[in-house]
Amino acid sequence: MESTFLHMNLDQSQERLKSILDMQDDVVFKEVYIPGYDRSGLFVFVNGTMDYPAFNEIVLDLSAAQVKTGHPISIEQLVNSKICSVKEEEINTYEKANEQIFDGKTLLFIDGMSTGYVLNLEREKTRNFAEPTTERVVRGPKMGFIESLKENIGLIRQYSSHPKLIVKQQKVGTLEKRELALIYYEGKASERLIKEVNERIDGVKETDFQDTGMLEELIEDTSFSPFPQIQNTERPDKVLSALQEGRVVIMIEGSPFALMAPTTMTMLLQSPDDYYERWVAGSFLRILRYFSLFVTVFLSGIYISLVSFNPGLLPTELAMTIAGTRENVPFPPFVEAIIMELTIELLREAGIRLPAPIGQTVGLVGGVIIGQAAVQANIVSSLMVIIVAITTITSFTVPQYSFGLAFRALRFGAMIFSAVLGLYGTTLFFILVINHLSKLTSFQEPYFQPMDFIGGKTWKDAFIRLPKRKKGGRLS
Amino acid sequence: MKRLWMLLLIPLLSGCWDSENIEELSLVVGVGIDLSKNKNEIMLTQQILVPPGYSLQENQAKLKYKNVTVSAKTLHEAIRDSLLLTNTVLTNHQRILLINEEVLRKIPMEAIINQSIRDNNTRRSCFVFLTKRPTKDILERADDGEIPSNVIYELKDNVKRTNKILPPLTLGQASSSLQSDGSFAIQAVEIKGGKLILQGAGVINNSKLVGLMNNKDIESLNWLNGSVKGGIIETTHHGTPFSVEVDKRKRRKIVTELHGNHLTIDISVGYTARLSEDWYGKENSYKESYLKEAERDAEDKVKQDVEKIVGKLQHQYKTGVAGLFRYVQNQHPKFWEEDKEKWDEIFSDADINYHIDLEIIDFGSKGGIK
Repeated sequence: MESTFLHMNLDQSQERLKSILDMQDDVVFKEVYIPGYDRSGLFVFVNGTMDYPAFNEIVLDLSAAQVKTGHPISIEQLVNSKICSVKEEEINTYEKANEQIFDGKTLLFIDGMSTGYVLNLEREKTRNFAEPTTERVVRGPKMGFIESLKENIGLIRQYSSHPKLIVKQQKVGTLEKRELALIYYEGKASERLIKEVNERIDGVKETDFQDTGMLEELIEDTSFSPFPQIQNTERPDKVLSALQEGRVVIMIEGSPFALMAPTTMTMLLQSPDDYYERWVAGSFLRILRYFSLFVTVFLSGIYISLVSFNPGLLPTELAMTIAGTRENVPFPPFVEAIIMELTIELLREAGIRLPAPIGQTVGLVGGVIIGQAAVQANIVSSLMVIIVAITTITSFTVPQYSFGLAFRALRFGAMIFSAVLGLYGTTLFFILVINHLSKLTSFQEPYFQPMDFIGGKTWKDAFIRLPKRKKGGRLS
Repeated sequence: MKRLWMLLLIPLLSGCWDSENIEELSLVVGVGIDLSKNKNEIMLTQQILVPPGYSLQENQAKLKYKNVTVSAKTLHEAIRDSLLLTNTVLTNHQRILLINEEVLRKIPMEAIINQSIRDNNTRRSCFVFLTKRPTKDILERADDGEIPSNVIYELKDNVKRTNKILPPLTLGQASSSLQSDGSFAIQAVEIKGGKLILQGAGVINNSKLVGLMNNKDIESLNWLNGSVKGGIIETTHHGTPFSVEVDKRKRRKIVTELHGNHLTIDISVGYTARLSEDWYGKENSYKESYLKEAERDAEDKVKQDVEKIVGKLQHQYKTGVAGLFRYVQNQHPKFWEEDKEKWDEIFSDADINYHIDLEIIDFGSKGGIK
């Protein structure tokens, strides 16, 4: 594109700009008169982005400017001194001007000058910092990220004042250019990792991202896996501890979720609570989470295989009870289990989409009406309802929502394998999952390694949380 | 991706060939074996659990089991014949195997339990009992709502509290005993006053039933073995009865000595016990000498009983039911290798010295000082 230089004459500039911005009804032109120099100024900005109180102050300052005798200053010096706090750069072409206006900046042109000033009078539209909704903790910081990258980075900088915390920003996207920030501790994160992350981001630079979730899918190691290979979080404390472990954090303007890479499976099963509570409680909860993960995937499968393949493995009394509850049920255990598991998944999905007050009604309908009625109508056995309830509850204990989703989906695989091959099939599926997990990598780090590979912590941290040791400074 | 789908479809080819829903199976808890009226046939009674059903209120009086009786030449054939009457039989949960005396008099025990042992569904931990009455009757006898097999199965747990029950004999133990020495005792089940009761025992030698024992004999045999786990020693002192409850076994030492072909067995056991009942009005339990005296009385009682049973074993049954052969086998392997065929004779001629050391460590929450 050919660049056209700004006119000296204010009227000409205004005419020219108006013709360029013909279609845009939200562009505002405001003239200001600077009496001391008998000149006019012109502000151009997009209506919705303007921080009016700040704008008013500058307008007041300019219109009240008087030429002091004794030390007369030029009009450039005057304007510069009045706008120095918000001035970003000077421009001299219309194309640049056009670009800056839609970036939310305010332009100031002065009659008789061939340069325009770019002022940052943008007022960001953000919500307030609030408690993260997806990762609640009982004890620990209650602050969560918001949609503003600037504020989020400010938050991280506030807690970590170390000069070696590097924040690298770049614009990505084609239609909507968004800021993407790469954050890491220099010296902690390995060169190889930083290089790898940069390469992957460079590869998808042209994509428009509305959320880090979209970026995650494009830069992960493999798409053919139910497991998330990059951890996401709304919690600054999680981000900070990831940074200290030498991991890289990626954030995008407009998304409250930060990505942390690389990730291991054990990390996804750790909650910040573990470290804030006493170690016994932390360890207990962590073991409980591993257990519930197993239950959520395999309990329905084990039920199916025990009931229709290996009833000899049940205690005699339990076998009788199960046979009793199943006596009038018309479906084989597999169909019964599929019906109930699908119903509960539907209820969960419906509960998320509906507004909060109705969501509770859905829970009631699901729990009481469907559960109770299905049993009384002999469509499913009462034991199946209990099992579905247990698998559902246990799936909620996974701290990372996206990780829990993976296991919810895998449950159906386990059920199919059990229905076809009995306990042998359940075992086979277990081996399959383990096999897949041990093959999986996250930024070329093995996903299944039971330790925090980068930090000083050992494998002991994977299953239980041992008492903290006093440590020296983390950065050398 | 295409290949992956193919792979995932492979398991479906097999179908669910082993699938058999639990409510369509007959869960066998107890099996009884009798002689059939037909010649050369045995009668098999299978006790099958019936699920309680969903609406409990309606069928509360309903029995929770049914017995299926069929006759055939072999057991497996009988089991298969029972499928004409009931659902597929699942013997994984079988808890007891009852064998009628008549059967064991006629057919070797090894043959009787052969099918159960071979079949890998029936557990080796299933317990074997002997019955005087037809097993069919035993398996039908129970109080309302109780399952006879379960009643018998649970009674055997009382071995910790009484010494009138033989240590339970599992199918696996029976099989291995039949393989090695071939003589052991087997607990019997009876009906008394309309109730199931563990009473008496049978002596099996070389797969045949050679004799019967009463409860007293069982008790004495348990003492001889040192397999007493609890129970009471009941005797008298100062002309009044008193009883001592066995607490814990402290030691058991069995030494065998050979002089030529003559075997001497020294059995020495030590138990702690408590004085649990004493009718003597002038008791003085706080005095050690009083307790020592009681200990001696109880020891004498046990020794007398043991002597009686040893006499009975050596002269009446002429077989070493007590499992003492294992000690000979371990302590004199060479002798055992050569003469194990003659074990019954050797045992019958052996000198058995029995020594018991009882220590009363407790006299409960009441004692006198008169």
